[in-house]
Amino acid sequence: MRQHLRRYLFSLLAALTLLCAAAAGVSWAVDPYRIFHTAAEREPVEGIGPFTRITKPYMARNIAPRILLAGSSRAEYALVPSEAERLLGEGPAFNAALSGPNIYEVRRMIDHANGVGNVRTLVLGLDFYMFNAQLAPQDAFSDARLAVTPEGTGNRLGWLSDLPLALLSIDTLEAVRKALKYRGRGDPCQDIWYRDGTRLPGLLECEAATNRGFRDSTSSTLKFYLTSKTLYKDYRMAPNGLADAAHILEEAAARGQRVVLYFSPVQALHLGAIDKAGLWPLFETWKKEIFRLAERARKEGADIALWDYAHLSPLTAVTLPPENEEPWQGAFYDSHHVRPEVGKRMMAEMLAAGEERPEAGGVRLIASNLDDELAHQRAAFLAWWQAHEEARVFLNDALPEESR
Amino acid sequence: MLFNSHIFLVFLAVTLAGYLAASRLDFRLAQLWLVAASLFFYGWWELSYVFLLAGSIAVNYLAALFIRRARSRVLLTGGIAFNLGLLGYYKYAGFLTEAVNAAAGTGFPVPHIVLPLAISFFTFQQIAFLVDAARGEAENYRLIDYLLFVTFFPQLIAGPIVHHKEMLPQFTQHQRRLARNLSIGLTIFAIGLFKKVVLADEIAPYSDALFGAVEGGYVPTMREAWIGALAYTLQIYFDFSGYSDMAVGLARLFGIRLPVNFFSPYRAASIIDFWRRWHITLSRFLRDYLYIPLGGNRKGDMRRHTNLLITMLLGGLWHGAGWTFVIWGGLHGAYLVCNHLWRQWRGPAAGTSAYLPSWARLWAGRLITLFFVVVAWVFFRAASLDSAVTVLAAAFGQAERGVLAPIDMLDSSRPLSLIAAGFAICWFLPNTVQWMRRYHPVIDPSAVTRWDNGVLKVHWRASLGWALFTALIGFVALLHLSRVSPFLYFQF
Repeated sequence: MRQHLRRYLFSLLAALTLLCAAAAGVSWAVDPYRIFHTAAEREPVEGIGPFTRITKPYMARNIAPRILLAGSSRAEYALVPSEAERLLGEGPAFNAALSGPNIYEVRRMIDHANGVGNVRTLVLGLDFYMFNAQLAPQDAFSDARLAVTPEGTGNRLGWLSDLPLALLSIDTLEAVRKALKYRGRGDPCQDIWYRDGTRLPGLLECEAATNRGFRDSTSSTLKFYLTSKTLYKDYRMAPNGLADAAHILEEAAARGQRVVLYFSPVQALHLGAIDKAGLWPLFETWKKEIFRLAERARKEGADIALWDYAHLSPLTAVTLPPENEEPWQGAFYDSHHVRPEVGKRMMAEMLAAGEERPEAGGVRLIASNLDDELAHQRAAFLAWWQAHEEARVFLNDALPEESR
Repeated sequence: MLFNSHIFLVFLAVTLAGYLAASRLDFRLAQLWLVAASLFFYGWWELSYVFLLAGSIAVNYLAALFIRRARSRVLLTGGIAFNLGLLGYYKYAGFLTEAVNAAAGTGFPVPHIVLPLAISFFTFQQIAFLVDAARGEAENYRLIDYLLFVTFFPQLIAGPIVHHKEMLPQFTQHQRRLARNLSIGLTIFAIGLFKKVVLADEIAPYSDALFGAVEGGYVPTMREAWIGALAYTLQIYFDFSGYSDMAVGLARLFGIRLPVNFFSPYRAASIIDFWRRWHITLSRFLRDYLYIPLGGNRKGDMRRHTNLLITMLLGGLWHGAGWTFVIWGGLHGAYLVCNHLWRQWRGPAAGTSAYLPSWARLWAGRLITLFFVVVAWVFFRAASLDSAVTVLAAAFGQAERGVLAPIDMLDSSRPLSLIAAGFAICWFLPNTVQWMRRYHPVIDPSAVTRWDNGVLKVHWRASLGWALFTALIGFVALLHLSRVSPFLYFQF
């Protein structure tokens, strides 16, 4: 009996070890999160949608960026690192933006990039929802893996915390499967990430390929924003959110970085959603608070510019196309994501010097125009909204009955 | 530190290695090591609560010493009041204040006190110890043994609620038979881990989708209500049963056998039978230290039914400070009363029928029992009474639905497949105790001899095939550890 039990125990442990070793070996070789440098560095990654919070810190470590592009998925799709390098004549640039982050996650990604690179220019897209107190960091986010702790000390062994996940997890094996499935072949409806953080919007391109698709994706995102507590439903400004934004600016000032902040463009319909949720006064307060922080940092010697694209402009005043299968080629994929081509024009407007600056729908906010500009924006929006009944009906139809 | 986390596996390996090494030197040293490891395990959540636990142990140990010497009822009452006071303050202060405010229209500030982990469990264990000390049924154990009895980490957080008579004699003996203990312990732990991280966590999103949506004002369809309620029925079973298996397996690694806590409750053919299978150690505690002292069935039927209702209402309240738990307990109390009345009415003919074959009676009993259990689970799971009523109204086709679109997640065939597979596992596969009966995995000898009708007769043995099978389910469970989810019973 004792012999049997010993043999059983040995077989059990040996089999378990072998299975774990095999899973770890495959995960290490394919390296879907780009942690171990075993996969081809230049190869794009597909199918890692839920895992960019794991992957991007490692991509940033590999790039050691001098130009950092940050923010939410709006910035992730819009800001192309190679374009930033071309405009500024230096590099490397890295896009550290994440999907659906709160401002704390954005701050921590910037901390991390500062820890692994020598960032000279920071382009940061800010969104109103990021400052919602009810929006928590997503599950895949972890402070432990970042190169700098929240207190500002170095964390060189942070990658160790990801080893169990990277080597022995069902999610990693799923990512391995996708990486092997899509490698080299490409699925036009899958998003693709390049090593510089560029995200090619395959899914959005497919969803908004036609006029009908664009209308559907706009409708569903408007509904999502207005019914989700983490976005506009019962929105409450996070007390720590402004402190996180201030931290980013103070850190940039201390490092002598050039900072370009901007409020991401959203369709006029999306502005209508903010208004419908009764959030316009808070929306303006938020803009003013960010401006105040930027001014404070500027007075302390930081090189900061603040641009506003989140207002009614030729870019955002989208006329709804008829509901048919004609190709859709407008600037937006849905209510709030613009195409990379628009992002290029925005970067040119924000980063180019003086007379070379093209028009892309942004307004640079400065102390002398802030109040007038916000009042003008409000009036322009109301006028447009009143004049476009089809937009009001569209927004109303997008909502569940109890929210109308 | 959850049992289903990587850090726990590291903790376990270090603790076990240290224990085995210390055992070779001195058994006392090994015991001390185990106490230290258990306190470290408990302190991982919140260091300050280690002092609360230590204080509770010190007071109860000293109280038991004096009670044993003086046989003083005053001391016993004081000891029980101390334990209930501790539990009352941490668990019920907010609930009682809210209830008083609501009933009397007062405006007392509601305290928001963080519930120390495991307080419901270690308090009950120590109350039983004090009562038995007063009855002269608890020996004069050494402090180190008593410390292990309360803090032993496999059962500290969520049970089983162990009894000193079954545990303390084991802690005083040097356990040998290493290969046997490790083989059985690891196997049971792997099964429990699989139940939790694969079965329970896989089905949990469907119950969360329903109850979360209802809490947000959504009125579900009949299909959604049943899918969500059945999903929760399976989630809580696999979650708690998985936890209990893990506790049994972990304890066995150290040579300790725990009492059985689950015995396929969804195979129960009556509510009385259900409570002999679900959370058995809690039922045992409530019977021995509440129901029987209240008079049990010794003072007539009326009194017996009243005692049952009181016991189950308090049992419900033990699970959580909220009206949903009280109603859950009350429902089960009412079910039990009805079940006893039925048996009285039918007399010796109860459980028999001239019209139905035995298998049909068995399944009719099972399905009827399950139906009432599911209804009660809705109250147990819902965040508020309103939500519970909405779900039940929808389940019975009585809800006024709005025009909201159905919950996508519940509108597919996957949850139905999972629910079918889950009940097939519950009904037709042997439970862990049955599967490993030849190796006496738990204390209770009676538990390992029961075998339910219709259950596949397979037994674990120390063979290569079972080693590979256990390695495979252990491996799949390990892969799921990256998706951290706490145990449902940790909140109690």
